[in-house]
Formats: sequence, structure tokens, C-alpha cells
Amino acid sequence: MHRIDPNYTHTLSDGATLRWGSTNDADAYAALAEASFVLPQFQFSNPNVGPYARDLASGNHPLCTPNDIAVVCAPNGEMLAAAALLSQPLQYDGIDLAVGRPELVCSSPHVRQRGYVREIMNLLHHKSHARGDVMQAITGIPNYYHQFGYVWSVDYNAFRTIQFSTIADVSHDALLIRKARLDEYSTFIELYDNERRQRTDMLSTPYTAEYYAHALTTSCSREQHIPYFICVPTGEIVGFTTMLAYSDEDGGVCVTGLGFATTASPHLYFLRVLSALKAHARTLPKAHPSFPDVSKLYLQVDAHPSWLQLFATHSLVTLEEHPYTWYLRVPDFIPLLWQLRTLLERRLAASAFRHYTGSLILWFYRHGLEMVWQNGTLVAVKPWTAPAYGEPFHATYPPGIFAQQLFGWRSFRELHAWRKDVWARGESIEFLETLFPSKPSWFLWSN
Amino acid sequence: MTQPPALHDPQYIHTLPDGNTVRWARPSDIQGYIDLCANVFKDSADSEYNRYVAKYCRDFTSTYHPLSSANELAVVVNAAQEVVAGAVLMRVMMNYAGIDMTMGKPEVVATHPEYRNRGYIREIFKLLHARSHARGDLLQGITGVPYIYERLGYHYAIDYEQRTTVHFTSQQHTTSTPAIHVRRATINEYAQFAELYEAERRARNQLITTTIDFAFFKYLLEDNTSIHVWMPTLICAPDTDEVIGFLLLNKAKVDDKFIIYGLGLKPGYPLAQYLPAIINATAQYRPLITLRHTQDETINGIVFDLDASHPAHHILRSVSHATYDEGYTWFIRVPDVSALLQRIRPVIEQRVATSEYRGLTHQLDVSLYDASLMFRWEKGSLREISQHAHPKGASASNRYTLPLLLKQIFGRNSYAEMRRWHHELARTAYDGALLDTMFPKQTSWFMIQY
Repeated sequence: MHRIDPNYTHTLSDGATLRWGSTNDADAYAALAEASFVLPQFQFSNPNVGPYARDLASGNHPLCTPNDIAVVCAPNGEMLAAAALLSQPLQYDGIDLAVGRPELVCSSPHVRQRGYVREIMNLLHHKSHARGDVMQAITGIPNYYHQFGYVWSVDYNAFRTIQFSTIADVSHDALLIRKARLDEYSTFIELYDNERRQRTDMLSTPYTAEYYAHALTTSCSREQHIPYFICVPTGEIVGFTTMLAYSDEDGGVCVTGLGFATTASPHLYFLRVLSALKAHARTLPKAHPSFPDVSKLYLQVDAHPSWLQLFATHSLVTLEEHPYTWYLRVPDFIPLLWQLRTLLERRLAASAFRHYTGSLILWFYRHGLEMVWQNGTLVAVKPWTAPAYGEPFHATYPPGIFAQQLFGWRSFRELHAWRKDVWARGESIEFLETLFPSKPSWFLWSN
Repeated sequence: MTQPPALHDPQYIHTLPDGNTVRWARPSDIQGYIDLCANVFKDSADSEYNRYVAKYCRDFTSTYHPLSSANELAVVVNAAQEVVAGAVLMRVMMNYAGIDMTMGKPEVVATHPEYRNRGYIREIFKLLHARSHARGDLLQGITGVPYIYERLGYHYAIDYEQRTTVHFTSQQHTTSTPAIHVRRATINEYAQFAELYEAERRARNQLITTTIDFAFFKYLLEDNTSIHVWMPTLICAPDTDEVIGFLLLNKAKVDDKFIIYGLGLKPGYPLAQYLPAIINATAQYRPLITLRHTQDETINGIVFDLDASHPAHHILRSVSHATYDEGYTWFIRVPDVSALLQRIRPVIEQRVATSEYRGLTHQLDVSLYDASLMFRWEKGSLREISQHAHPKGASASNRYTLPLLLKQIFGRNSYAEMRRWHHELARTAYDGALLDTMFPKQTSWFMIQY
């Protein structure tokens, strides 16, 4: 039976069974997640993971079906390990990419080190490939996913923490934060996409109508970015925000997106928005009754200069959190580059390399690829093999590290300065910088 | 029942899945290995046999090389007993902040093109690593193809060079103040050379340096046939012949240039003032050098292939006819990091003793994700360094990976530099400052011994 067949099962060497999930697995997946994700400071389960697992296995989630969850079960049927494969919305500089996202990876604490997660990841990668994903993306345990071919390639969760005590309460002309309604998707998406266009990020996250509807209606999870509007006292909408709808174990509320109408001035509204966010956050429930009272906001600024300008202009005291990362796995750069070819051609056309004719050979130490250009058009991207003698390539990257430049996380020169195994011929450096420039990203996890 | 020979045992032999054999070399293998390297390291398939590499390999597998011998050569041979892959394990003498140690160095790693991608080098390295461990090396180091050796457990952890090239000009040849000359040291001048070299090592305050004992000095001057060795060369005052400094000058020009790997002057002879004269004197040293291409004696410049912090680089930045290339790095493998830390414990204690942590009593735990390290400090003494197999992993407060910890132990990068690139790093403020005290960023002058 083919591995992506919904009824696929495979008996592992210890007798456990690897298979795809169904709605019947929702309770077991939720219980497994709660057993796996324990908050150390409280010694109880993360209260968000159970509902999240149920949501993924419910059949209602727009990015995941129950059959996209791979599970390992003991001979007696007990679920021992599981993970879901989401279809993560993603745009690369305006081009939609199909991306698989392993998520809520968990294994029972008493069955670890048995290779169950490796079996599950193999299955998820297989399905992701079969459905045409050009890559996989994952967050989660630091360092762990390197072993499955993932390389950290995009910053995310670069939060600034603002204590409520530093946010002045605004009483005059106070703004209001209100949850968006189901019939307001067009208003929301206009604001949201306007913000994406303004930021000109490398990676950004489309917010689909299906995800919007699910977040506002059918979801039983606490993990979604809930869409809200920012309104003036008369009710006119001047912006949007996306937030998680609970305060966390440290008394914080996470704000993952913020944008303004084209007619509104971010500078003018910023302090009033913070005051409104603070007031709204105080109305949100705690994810668990034992958690401390809400006292701060986490603003997901990533590396975007507008946020940093606003903080600086208003002399706001914030705590800068180290960014975390998206780990990306690109099994084959050739189809990905081919999908991006019109964009790459535009980048070249806007540079001194317009009308370029020639080839660019990238060597990944074990295999390589050649990009063939004719008069500024990318006519082929094909595999390339090194000859026994000589080094007739233009640049080298260790496998996976090329993703760090392709996705804009670091420039070629930064990579070369940091890693001795990233190298290019002098005449190829500017070409590489032109094709694959460094840019920030706003890549939201679509739980 | 007799135990089969261990990996490091000269009698070890193992048949690979394709029927070929990995083992330690026999005398009959030496020429095959030399020929293999001379054929692998050439510019193209139809290029000539690389006789320079052949000489280099002959030295490594000789009885006169003080750091290497044919006994340290591991090979893969085919059914006809032809050497199709091989590498030698050298013994490099290094010093970490005053503590001498040896490092195993795989050298001249070669596989016949028709036998590649079969895992032969991985098999050969198993033997080299076992031998290195058996003779007491705490680490192995290698240069060469970047990335490839990461798959064998090596991580770039020590920078070893930066290159500044001075191109000779007509102006260069007419400038001659102050007048000095350079000459090759003689075998009887080891004490004088060593005094200069050691003084330079002390003065430069480098973390890792290269030890040059008499045996290696003698090899450099008298015993080698390779052109890839650095010659101890003395810098002399013009009239008195007083030795005022030293150079480590490559035996042969490479392309059309001299290469200088080491440079130091006595106190009282400022480098900034004497460097132009050293350049001129080196240019005039031409007749004594072993030329790579005897039909072409043109020498058009000097490459200062020195450690990145050497002041010569900074002085030459103001020279219009100088160009700069980024250097390369040592890839380091440390199979037992706690054993290495035990060895350098006096250095760690000294660093803490001269910091605000002096007199410290504290247990410092550092997760390496798949293991963890524990440092137990008592009243300023590091009483225990131990490694544990059951780590807290990602839930630990202080988290490194082994490659990143090595970069800090060897002074290459600070934590702040690494954190921008490696998001798996984490520390508490207190322990982080302590770790930075124990392992500060510090440059190294770690030359390759050929």
C-alpha cells in the first residue's frame, strides 16, 4: 500500500504501528499532547495543546485534515507518538509556495529514543512531497530538527515585550479593539494585504477566508491569530491587529500582526493603539487559572524597521527578545528556483545584470545545480555534477545553508564572513547578492 | 578466543562491502599512495603527475619526518592491492594558553576518482581517529576541503590565517631604509631562533600557537624534499650581521610570490618601521630559494600568510600595492570535550581567579542537547568537570551545541557573535557571564606544520 494512502499502516520493529489518523484519534492525540507538553514552572500540561490537537483532528481545520496526522500506536491501540502535517500558507516575495508544516510533534515521555518521531517525519515528508510541497517548515524544539534535514532559515517571534506600566492609558479619543465579524473578511484582508505590501517582506503569510472563518467560528483551539479591528470612537475602522486570545503563563498577550489603513498614520495612532491593546488584553481570559494576571504585551516586530522606528520615536522602553527561527527543509532547490523564475528575472532586470547570458553553478558539496540564463531569462535550472578534477563552479554552500540566503535571512557576504564553507568566485558575488537579496520576513505560524 | 585487532592496531584489517580492504599501510603501499596523491592533486585529468605533491607525500611517509611516518598511513586497497584511497595521521604540536598538547592531523587525504562516494574516507578516518586517541591526542584538526570534514565530526573552530599580498613595484625596489638582509638559519642556530620565536609567541598573547622543537627545526632546514615547508629564516642588521628577527618563509615561491608564514622582531625594532625593509630584503633573497618552475624565476610579490591579528596586516593596509584575501580555518574534532577541559583546567581557573568571579562556589550546567557538561566550582577551584549522557536538552537554561562550545573554548567567537546565527544557544545572565570569563574570545596563531 502506498504510504500516502489513508489506510496505510506499517508495523515497526518493536511491534508498534505507524498509520494515518482519523477523527477518532482526536481525544487520544489531545491526551498525548497534554502528556508531552508540560510547563515546567507549573508542573501541569500546557493548557493550549489539548484543544489545539482536537482542532487539528476535528475535520474542521482548513489547513489540516485528520488524515494528515501521522500516529504511532502500541499493539493495544494506545497512541504513543503523533504529528500533523499542515498546509502552511506562504508567499515568497509575492509568489505562493506550497509548504508542508509538521506541527504538534509529540511522543509519550515513556517511549522516547525509539525513533518514532523519525518514522513520523519520514511519513509526513513523503506526503508533503506527494502533494507537491516545495519545502517543509517547522518551529519547535531548538536544534532537534536538524537531524531531519531542517536548517534555520528565517527569523520569527522576534518579540518586543512592553510592560503595561510603560503604556500610558489614553482616555481622550481612545481607540477600540474589537473582534472582526465573519462577514467582514473583505475589510480585514484589504487591511492585512495592504500591510503585507507595505512591508515588502521576503516571506509573508496569506490569511485565507477559510482560515479567517475557522478562527472566528468553528475553531476549538487557542492557537489561532484572531483578527481584530482597530476603531476610532465613532466606529470607523482605521487598522487591524491579530492576537492570540488568551494570556500566557508569564502574564503576556501575544500580538502577531498590526497594520493601518492607507489613510491612517501609524505614527499618529501608535500610542493610542498600545493603550487600546492594553485595555483589550485585560479583558482576555487566562489560558489557565493558575497563570498570573496579564501585565504585558509581546509585539511580534520581527526585523521590520517601521516597528523599530515607532519604538524609537516614542522612546518606549521595551525588552528585546532574541528571535527564534523557522527551520526549513528544501529537499530539492531546483523546482523551487524554477517556480521563482519570473521573480528572479525581475530582480536581474532591475540590476546591472539585465540581459545577462551565462550560467551560475552552485555546488552543495555532494550535488549541485546550474541556472542557465539567456538574455536575462532563466531558461533552465538543472542538476550539476562536479568533475573529477578542477572546481568549475561559481559558489559553494553546505547542503541546506543556501536556504539561509534564498529566504533572505542572511546575505552572501554575511554567510561568507561567518562560514568558511560558503564561498563564491569574486565575479559571482554581486550576481548572487542580486538574485538572492537579504530581506526581513513576516512569516506567521498558521496554527 | 583471540580478539581481533583494534582499529589503532597496525594489524587491523577490514573488508568493505565492495570487497576492497581498509588497513594500515605496509611498506609496499607507500609508492602507491604517493602516486595516488600525485595523480589526484592535479589540475585536470590530462595534467602531468604532480611531482610537488609526490615529494610532499614522500616526506610524510618517510623515516625522517618528525611528525609523521609511514606507520601512520591508512589506506584502502583493491583486490590487486593497489592503493585507491589513503591519508596519513600527523602529530601536530600545539600550545593552548601555555599548555602543551598534541593534535592528530589527517593529511593528504586522497581517493582515486573511480572509487569516490563509497565511504572510503570515512573508513580511513575511523582508523586515524582511533590511532590518534590511542596515542593520547585530545583533539584532531584538519584543513582542506570545507564542509566535507564536518560530516566526520570536525567543526571550524580556530582561524589560522589571513593573507595580505604586497605586489612588487619599481618604487619597492628602490626603497632600502633601514638596510637589512635575511638569510636562512643554520642548524646550529636553533637556540637563537627558538628564543626569538618564543618571545614572539609570548608577546603576541595568542591563545593557540604552534610549537617548534629542535627535531622539527632540523627537518625544516635539512631533512625535507618538499617545497611546501616553511624555512626558519633570520633577519639581520646590515653590517654587524646581528640577528634582529625571524621569518618563516616558504621554501619555494608559489606562482610568482614568496609566502611568509611567520614574522617577529626583537624588542627595539618596531615592525612598522622595519616592514618595508623586510619586504625589500626578502625580494633580494631570491637566489637562495628553491624555485617551483625553474624556467620562470620571476617573483612579483610577497604573501603575508599570517594569523589574522598579526600587526603586519594593519601596517600593510596603508600600502597602495597590497591586496587582501580572507583566510581559512582549522576544522577541529574533540571526541571527549570533558577530557580537553580537564587538560586546560589550570587556564580556566586562572581566568576566573583574575575576574569578578574569583573565589567562586557554584555548579554550572551546560546542555549540549545530546549530552551535558557540569563544572563544579568550590572557592575558586574547578573541582569537577564531567559529562553526562542524560541531558535536559532543550529545557536546560544554558544550551550550546558541541561545535558552538568548541568555537568559544578555542576563542574564535564570542557568545554574542554566535547567538546572531545560532538560535539554539541560550544562557542565564549569571552563567553566561561566567562562561565568557572561562572562555574569552582570543585570537590564535596556529600555523600548519607540513
